[in-house]
Amino acid sequence: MLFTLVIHAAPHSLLGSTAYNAYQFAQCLLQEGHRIHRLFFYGEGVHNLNAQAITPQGEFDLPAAWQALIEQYQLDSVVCIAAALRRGVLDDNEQKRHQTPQRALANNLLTGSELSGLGQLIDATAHSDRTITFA
Amino acid sequence: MTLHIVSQNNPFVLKNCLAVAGPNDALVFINDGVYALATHAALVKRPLTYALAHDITTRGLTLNHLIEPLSYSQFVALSCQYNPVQSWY
Repeated sequence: MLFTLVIHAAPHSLLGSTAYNAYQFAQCLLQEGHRIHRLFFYGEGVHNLNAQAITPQGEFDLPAAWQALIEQYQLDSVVCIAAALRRGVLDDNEQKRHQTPQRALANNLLTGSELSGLGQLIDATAHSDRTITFA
Repeated sequence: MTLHIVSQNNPFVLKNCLAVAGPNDALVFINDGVYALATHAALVKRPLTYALAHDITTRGLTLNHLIEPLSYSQFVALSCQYNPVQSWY
């Protein structure tokens, strides 16, 4: 079965975050032979793909785990561009667009994901058997 | 039949969910949503009510024998069995 997962939660509090539920759900369904049409990171969920977030030693590194899962299964991973920009998650294009001499910006979107619009969520919902929201 | 996912311990969200959920719909409590099971005795007796085993144990709650503890594999299976899947938050 073809799934789309929508992740609304930030990864900051691991056990308290449904982002971790979403990750485990994604891992499990892929292991069982189902497929993921798209991961869509929305709202606070964009923090899951911030390369500049450093996880304390000894804790499970959820952003790194997402990146590894996306790479392993070649998943289509989309981060809502409006939600990402206002939370400081930028790709190369946006970093260049918004950088000024007074304001140094980092290109900090983890590789394997792209910034795009809500149209990608609508498209994913239309093309998937199930859309599961983790809020 | 709908699969309802409750992920927060919020009485207003739960109230809305229960107002909509039909008798043949399934409820899955995940994350902080599992706390609702500790405070709502009627929920525990409801058929087709499940909770992620991992999220119950990490919160130090005791599993009631009437609640179906779910593995992620069973959670995936339920989300295939039911359509649509509605999250409450």
